[in-house]
Amino acid sequence: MIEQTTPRRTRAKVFSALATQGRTASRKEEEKSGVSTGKQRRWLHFRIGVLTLGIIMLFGAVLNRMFDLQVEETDLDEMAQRQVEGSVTLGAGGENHLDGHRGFIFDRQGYELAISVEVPSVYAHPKQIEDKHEAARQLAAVLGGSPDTIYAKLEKERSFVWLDRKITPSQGDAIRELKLRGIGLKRASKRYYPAQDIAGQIIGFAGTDNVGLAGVEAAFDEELRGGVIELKGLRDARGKLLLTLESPRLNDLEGGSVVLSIDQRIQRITEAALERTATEFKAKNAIGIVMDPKTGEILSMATWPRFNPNRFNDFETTDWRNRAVLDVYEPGSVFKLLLYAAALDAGVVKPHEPIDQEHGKMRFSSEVTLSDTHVIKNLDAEGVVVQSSNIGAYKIAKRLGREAFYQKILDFGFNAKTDIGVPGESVGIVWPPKRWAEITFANIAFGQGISVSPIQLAMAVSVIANDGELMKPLLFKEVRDREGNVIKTWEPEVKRRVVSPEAARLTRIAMEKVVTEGTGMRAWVDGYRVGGKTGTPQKVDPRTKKYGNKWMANFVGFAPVDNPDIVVVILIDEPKVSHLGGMVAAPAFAEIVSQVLPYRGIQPEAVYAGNNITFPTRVEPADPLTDAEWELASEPPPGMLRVPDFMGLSLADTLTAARDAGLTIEPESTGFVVDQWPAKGAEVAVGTPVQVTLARQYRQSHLGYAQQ
Amino acid sequence: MERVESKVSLVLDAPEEEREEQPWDGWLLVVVCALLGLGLVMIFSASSITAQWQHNDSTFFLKRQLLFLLAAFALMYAGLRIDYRWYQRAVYPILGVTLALLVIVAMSGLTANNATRWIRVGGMTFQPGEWTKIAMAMVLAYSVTKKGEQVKSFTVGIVPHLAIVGLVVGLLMLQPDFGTSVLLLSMMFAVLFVAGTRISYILLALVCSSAAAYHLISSSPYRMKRVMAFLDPWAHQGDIAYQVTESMMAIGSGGIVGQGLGDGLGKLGFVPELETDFIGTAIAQELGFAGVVLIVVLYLLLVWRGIRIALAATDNFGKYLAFALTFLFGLQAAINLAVISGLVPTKGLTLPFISYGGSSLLCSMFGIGILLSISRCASDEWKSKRAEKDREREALRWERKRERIMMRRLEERR
Repeated sequence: MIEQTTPRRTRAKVFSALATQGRTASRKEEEKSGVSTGKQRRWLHFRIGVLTLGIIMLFGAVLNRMFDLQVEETDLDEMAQRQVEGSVTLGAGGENHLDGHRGFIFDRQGYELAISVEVPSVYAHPKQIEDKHEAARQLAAVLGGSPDTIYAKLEKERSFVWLDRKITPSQGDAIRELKLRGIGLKRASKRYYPAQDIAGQIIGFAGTDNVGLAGVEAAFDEELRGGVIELKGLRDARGKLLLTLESPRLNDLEGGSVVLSIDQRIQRITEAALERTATEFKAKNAIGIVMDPKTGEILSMATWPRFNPNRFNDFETTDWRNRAVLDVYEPGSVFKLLLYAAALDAGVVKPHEPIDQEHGKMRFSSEVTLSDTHVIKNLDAEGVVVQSSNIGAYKIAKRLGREAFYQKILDFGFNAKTDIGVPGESVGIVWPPKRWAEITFANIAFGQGISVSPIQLAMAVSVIANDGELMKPLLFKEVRDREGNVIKTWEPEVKRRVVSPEAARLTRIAMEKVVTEGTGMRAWVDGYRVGGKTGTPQKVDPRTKKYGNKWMANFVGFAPVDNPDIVVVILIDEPKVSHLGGMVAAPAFAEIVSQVLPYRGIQPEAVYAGNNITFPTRVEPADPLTDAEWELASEPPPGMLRVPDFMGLSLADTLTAARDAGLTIEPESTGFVVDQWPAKGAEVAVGTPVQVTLARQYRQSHLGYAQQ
Repeated sequence: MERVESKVSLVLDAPEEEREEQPWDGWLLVVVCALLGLGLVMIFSASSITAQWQHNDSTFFLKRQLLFLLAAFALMYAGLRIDYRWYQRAVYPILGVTLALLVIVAMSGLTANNATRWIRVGGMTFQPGEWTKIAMAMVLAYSVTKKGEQVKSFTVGIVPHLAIVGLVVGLLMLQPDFGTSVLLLSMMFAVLFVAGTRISYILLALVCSSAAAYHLISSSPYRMKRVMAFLDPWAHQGDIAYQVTESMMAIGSGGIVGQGLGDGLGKLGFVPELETDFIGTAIAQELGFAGVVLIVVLYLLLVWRGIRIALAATDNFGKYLAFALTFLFGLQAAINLAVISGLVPTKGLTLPFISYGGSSLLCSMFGIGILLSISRCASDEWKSKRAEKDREREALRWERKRERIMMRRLEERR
């Protein structure tokens, strides 16, 4: 018997029945039956009630705790909020697949020197790909390269992997055609330089990740770089952003733009002149600067050999060096005109005061003798400049005195940065006069024994052209933000007066005579009065640390003489055929001036040429020449032709232009031409295929200049 | 004399209160269904994100829980139909099977989260710890009923229960399952208290258990660390107190009316086990303090119906069993809510009827079936049938005896 309960009604009967068996048995039964009396039942129920109350109190404690956490305490809410707050930065490339749109670089006329276009990049979600081998094989057929490398990428245990960045639009179309599951295309921003190698060293380039690595691209990287969009959003425990709480302003991806003071046409003229000269004389390098002496604006700054930033990988690092600012040279005899101006300013010489030439030889010590290559007797002070006499220069310098000469050198801007805004600008070397030996003093008088950068030299020459005032060089006109608002401008700035206007004027007269009757007669330009100064410095052999037989051919000058509009500095490094500045550099000067002055709208004037007086016919103010006219100016050899400029044309226009020129076209994608190869102006055989890359979004400039 | 004994036995077997058989307690089922419905909604809300991550199907856990629910209702119906007094009669086989299951877990159980709690049955896994709670309620109810007034004595009242529960707890601690162990010990003391064991004995046993627990904790640096983490969870936020601090933050972000159903952010992987042990966190975050009050009220209603069934039960075994099961549900719910709010250390107990999990749901619903069965106050058919048969057999015997006597008399007459 396991359990017994005794009905109340029958209890009496039971007890009577059990009575015969005695009380012991009865009590035993009673005990075994557990709860049977009302009193015991009430006790049991009471105890159950006590424990139930205990459970109710437990729930009460829980509610109290929950109330504390949920209503009283507010820190927890903030902590919970903070850990789900995430943000994503768009426009930095990489994982979020959205590139910033790097801003443009314009020349002073609004011509686009650097643009950004959107090109496809191909990626994969490896987990979604069913047949990786087949996918790799098909992709390799489009992208080139081996299927194995692509397969290796598809094998990665990642949810996202880039297969190839910045492919051509036609490759993108081909991949879209494949309709492969797990393979997709994202638009990426790619940098193009429509002017190709024009001003390549000034512009520099931006790498594949759209970060400026050289030139203006590096110097103004912050302004040009596409903006980033930071979006606040909801983050999960794995740190992934799930959804954003605001929509991105895509306009923020655009970068600002930079307008250079460079004029791409003048830059082309300068580069063409440098190339012709350097090729003819088999020079190592050539540097040319054209600038406006009144404002200090740099109109062109060229370095030869050329550098095409579209293909920066094909060039050496030395090729993208902007030597006009970064390199220093001994200026040579061009320095004499600065000495002459300084001496006139100090009043220690007069232009027609005779300077004894010592018969072309001047002895400093038993070993050192100063000599002139060609001896002209009875030179006056002006003649020292015109005929480039070293002995005369030394004598004028001695009259000026070491300290005064040194001070003027510094005043002309040497041994200091010009603050042109190109990173890594060189200052050159000018030793203080205490360290000048007498021979050093003499050397400095004709531009040896010191080193200056081409831009310093151009600024110093512009002091003469600008009536004695030194300007700050301006390579940039303005910076615009992404909306096109001008946020920074560069205004002409006078640094200091160096020489008096009269001294500058007299120096200009001497410099004109250099061209009419002195060492720089090859700088003659029909129809314009030009002034200049030649220089043929000897170069120090880096191994022997002595002057060897390597030379530079320099020419500095300006035009027109009365009211100079441009200053031109030409440095030809190590010409082989001839090394005289008057032979090598002066014709380049003439070539540039004869083209730039008409383009700048400067009218020719009546000039004296030798004994003949020329009255030039009336010339209409020069219109800016079109590119096509420049191309026509030089005829290619028979059987060859020059590749026309297809940039910015539609495909139909490109095909027409190519047919007219006798070329065939290999187009990539649709839209407008953003790149072509071979570059325009290249000499190719008739019928040569030209690869052109087109893109749909060839954005017109902020400035509203439509590119033709 | 034999006849008298038999009659006495018959009288004693009859119910003390002769009640009409009642319909089972519908309100208890209503409360349970409310909890189950809330559970389904919250499981889907809490698990959809992680289900999408892990199984690429946001309704993975919801669908499984719906399947479990079908089985659980079937089991509850079985519990309702089986006369609960059978557990009393079959208590030793039940105890044996339970111990066997626990031994199997200890020998070849499946391990997850550093605990070996599961055995594989066919393609499914089962957690014997959940069943153990129901089984021990049966065993304890049987034991105190059988011992009756003797439960007051130390040797009969305390020692055997402590021994059997101690054995089960020992097996559970091998897993280790600290939560279920605490729950079983609490239930044991509660049932003993209700059965009338002297308070002093219970206190003595409590002190001894506490001393043992203290020794267990302080002897293991790992358990000590857990306790330190419980005392100052924010200092251990990065490692072992991560779950509870995340849970507290999620609860705190709920406020009075919550972030809105489905809008809780703890489900973004911040609170681990959100759909199982920490489902209460999801409720507190999405429905706020109001939601917490709602589930507490539902559990109190469940306790009320359960206690009512216990009080109304016609026999002592029914009373003790109903009380033990009700106490089990109530205490487990309260401890779970205390765990997620950082009030007591983490245990690994589910929130009954709400948490995701097959074993928990099946066993809990079986327990509800038992409660419903008790609520019917039915007479013990098996017993009355047995008495009927006894009577018939006796009558037959008397008939045969009479016939034999008559035959003998007839022969004598011849």
